[in-house]
Formats: sequence, C-alpha cells, structure tokens
Amino acid sequence: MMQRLRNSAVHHGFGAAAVARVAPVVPIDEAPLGPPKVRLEGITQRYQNGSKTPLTAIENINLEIHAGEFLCIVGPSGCGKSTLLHMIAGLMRPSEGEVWIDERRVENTGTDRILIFQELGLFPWLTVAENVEFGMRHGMGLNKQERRARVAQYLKLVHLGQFADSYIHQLSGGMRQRVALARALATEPDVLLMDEPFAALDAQTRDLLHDELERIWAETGRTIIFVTHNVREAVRLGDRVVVLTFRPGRVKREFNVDLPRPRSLEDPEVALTARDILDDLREEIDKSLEVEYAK
Amino acid sequence: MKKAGKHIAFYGALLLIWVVLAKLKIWPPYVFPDPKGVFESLYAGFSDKTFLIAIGVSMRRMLLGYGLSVALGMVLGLLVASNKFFEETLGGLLVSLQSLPSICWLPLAVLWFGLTEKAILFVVVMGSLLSVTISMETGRRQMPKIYGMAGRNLGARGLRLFFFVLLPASLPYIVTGLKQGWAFAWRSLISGEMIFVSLGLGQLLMMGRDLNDMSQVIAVMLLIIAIGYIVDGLVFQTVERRLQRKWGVEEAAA
Repeated sequence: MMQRLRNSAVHHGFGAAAVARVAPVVPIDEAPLGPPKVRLEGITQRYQNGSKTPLTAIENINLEIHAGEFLCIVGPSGCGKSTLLHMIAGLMRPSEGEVWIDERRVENTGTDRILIFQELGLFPWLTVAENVEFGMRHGMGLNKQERRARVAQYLKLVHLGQFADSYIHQLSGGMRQRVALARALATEPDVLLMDEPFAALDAQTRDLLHDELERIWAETGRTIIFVTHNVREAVRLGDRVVVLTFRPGRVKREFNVDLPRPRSLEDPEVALTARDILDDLREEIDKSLEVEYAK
Repeated sequence: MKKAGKHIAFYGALLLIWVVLAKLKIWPPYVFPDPKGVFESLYAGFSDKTFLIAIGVSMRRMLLGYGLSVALGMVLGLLVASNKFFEETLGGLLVSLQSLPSICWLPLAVLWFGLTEKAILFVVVMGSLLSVTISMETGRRQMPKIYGMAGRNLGARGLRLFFFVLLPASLPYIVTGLKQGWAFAWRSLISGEMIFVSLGLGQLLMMGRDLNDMSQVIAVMLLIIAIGYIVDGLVFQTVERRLQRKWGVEEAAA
C-alpha cells in the first residue's frame, strides 16, 4: 500500500526525498545561531508503581528546540509525551535530568511558557474574556488597561471578539479550543506547549484551527512544541517531527519536514512524509497494543 | 402546569381532611385546632410583629452561626484534604463527632458561655461545622485536577491559586454540603432556642405550649417549615442547579 502510494507520487512528479531521515540531532537551516530556546537534558521519569521495580516511563530524552521552531512530538499512547510537556511547563519535575529555557533551569511554572491541555482546563466560572485575562492578571500582574487591550487583541486574533462575555458552556468545541489558544497567547509566552489540542474535534474544525495556528505562529514567531498521536497532523504543522518509543519513552528518530507552507492535511507530500514516519511509529504502536491486550 | 395541579389537589385534600377532622370535634380545639384558628394566630403574630421580631432574631443567629461554621469549615476541610496526617487523624474524629446530635453541646455551651447569645451560636456552629468541613474536604477531592494545573500553568500561586481557582472550581461539589450544613444549623438553632428561651422562633414555640395555645404552636411550626423550605428548596437548589449547569458537571451527576 505504502509502496504504491509512493510510486504514484513519484509518477506525478513529487520530490522523492521530501523527508530527510537523520540520526539524533539535526542542525536546522533556518535555526538562528546561539543557544536553543528549550533544552531537555537527560530527562528520565520513573514511577513507583506499587511493584518493587519502578516503571520507567521516560528514559534519557535529550532535545533542543530553537526559537521560532515548530516541533511536533509523536508517539503511541503511554510514551510519556504529555508528561514531557508538563515538565517543560514546570508542572512536574523529572526524576532525573533538567529542562532549560534560555539557559535558565525550569523550577516552577511561568508565563513565559504556557501549556494548552488536552482537556483545555478553561474556567467555567469565568467569561471568555476573563479566561483570557487570567494569566495576565494572576500570573503577570498587568494593569487593567493593558489587560483589556490584550484581551480584545487576542480574542480578535482567534475570531471570538463577539463572544467575550459568553461562558464556556455556551461555546462549541472548536470555539473552546480557540479560547484556550487565546488564553495561552495572551500572556505572550515565548514557548507554546500544546498537548493533543485538536484530538477531540471534527475534521473540518480541526483543519480550520490548523490554518489558524499556522497563521498565528507565523505572525507571532512563537516557539511551539506540539504533541499529537496523529502523524499527518504532525507533518502538516511541524518543522521537525520527533518520534518517541513506547515505554520507556525515548527519542526513536527525528525527521525534518522541508515542505513548503502553507500545507494541508490532504497534500500528497504530507501524506507521503507521514507514511514514512508512520512506518517508524508502527513498531512502537504494535508494542503498546501488545501491552494493552496482554492486560 | 400539571405538577402545580397535583400540588394544589394534594394540599387542598390535606386541608380538607384537617377541616373535617376539626369540625367533627373528636378532640377539643385546644388539642386539635382548626385551620381558621391557626391562620388567625399567624395573622395576629404578624400584625403585632412578634413573628417578625422572632424571625429576625432567629435569622440573625443563623447568619452569624452559619457564616462562622462555613468559614471555619473551609479552613478545617482544606487542612484535612491537603494533609495526610490530618486526614488520618482529624478526618476520623470529625466523622465520629457527626453522630453526636448538636443539642448535646448545649449543656457544655451553657457552662462555658452562660445564658448568652454565644452559647446559642456555639450550638449552631457545632451543628453545621462538621458537615461543612466534610463537604469541603470531599469537594476538594472531587474537583477535577485540571483546574489547579491550569491555574498554576497560567502563573497563579498560593492564595491567588486558592481563591481564584481552587475555591470556585470546587464550588459545585461544595454547595451540596453547604446546603446540608444550613439544614443542620437550622435544626440546631430551633432546638437550642426551645431549651434556651430567649427570643427567636424556638422560644415562640415554647411560649405557645406554656400558654396552651395550640394554634400558635402549629402556626410557628408552619413558619419554621416555610423558612426552611424557602432557603433550602428554593435558594440552595436554584444555586446548585445553576452552578452545576455552568460548571458542566450536570452530565456527570445525572
């Protein structure tokens, strides 16, 4: 199947080497010189799982993410990709290893890096505008005027200006997603961490939000670390895709995605690249399924 | 509409049975008054303001006592919910103390505080503190963890995190306990006032007994039921329902 797809793509004149397969760390052409924005150094996470030997969820992950880069992390469920984001956000400490942002070690949460949770975690007792305002008010202590200006600015950015006074339960899934995005962007973090944010959405809404995210990323120049189990989504969005192994989570491979933007999920090149990555990922998914069904 | 019709039919029938029984004069009127006597009592009580004063006094005690137990219960509940040591020790003590009827605190209160307002307040607080504390604790546990993480993620810490995230997030889980606490406080107050005799609805009830005025006794009982129903059934339930809808926990509860 894969072979056929690839052949037909070549027939149609698409570049055969859309994907650069490379070993551990890849120098990226566009990356600016100097220290990386985010650096993961020997991250290991163990859980005392009741049994005598602790479960190693993540093992020795080393990654460097450069300013303005869009990095996607894919892996089977249980590879610790969400945990990795929580560590960068400062919500939890790794058992071993360190997270560095701009050569500062991450000790706690901070508004310089905001995580968009899979389940969003919007506050239902606040209006849309108050949700967006939250980080600026309670995390940064900005004054009222500035907060108000930024709320308006970021709600406009995600096309929710008219819903400023609505409550979360009054919004659709796609709109909630955009509120979460606006809330995260409003603190103007250098690093945006996204944990499978579009997994629960229908295809149309997701396509729309991909476009918006790509636009916002291009406009604001943020560094984005995006976790997903959907390889196509990763190729659609990322400059680079990192594949993690299943339990313990390790970096299995990195792929540079040099496809021109804007991309679309339906682009044959995206599909082709995704195939390639999926081959690698399949092994890990099989392993995770084995464990799942063995239970 | 249908529901209202049922209610009218039910209470109409109840009233009718009452009237018929009273008319049959099986028991003398000072033992079994007719509705007319009770309503006259109610009317008289409201027109010479004794009922209003009693309600005012009782409500003031309620608000003070209940407010105190909510504030204390919040602190205690948090302590128990966030500390393993307190959970294992204080948590158990609180549960076992709950089996003690609040009126049992009255002798102790009288000896400690004398025949003062403080003694009544103490009984009210002891009556509702435990259920508020326990509901606060379970509320903190039931609250989805995501809210706390989201708050920290956006930079909120310490007291800010507590007041602007954890407290509002656990509100729909706490409100049930607050409602229960109110009902306990209300019962403790009335029984306290009955024994204690210093203004308030409970005293009015006892006065009716002393004067052999059964109409007044029943009138005051109706008042106590009405106030309890209005606060519990209307205020709390409306708030509860609205909170649960807005917080999106409605589906989970159903």
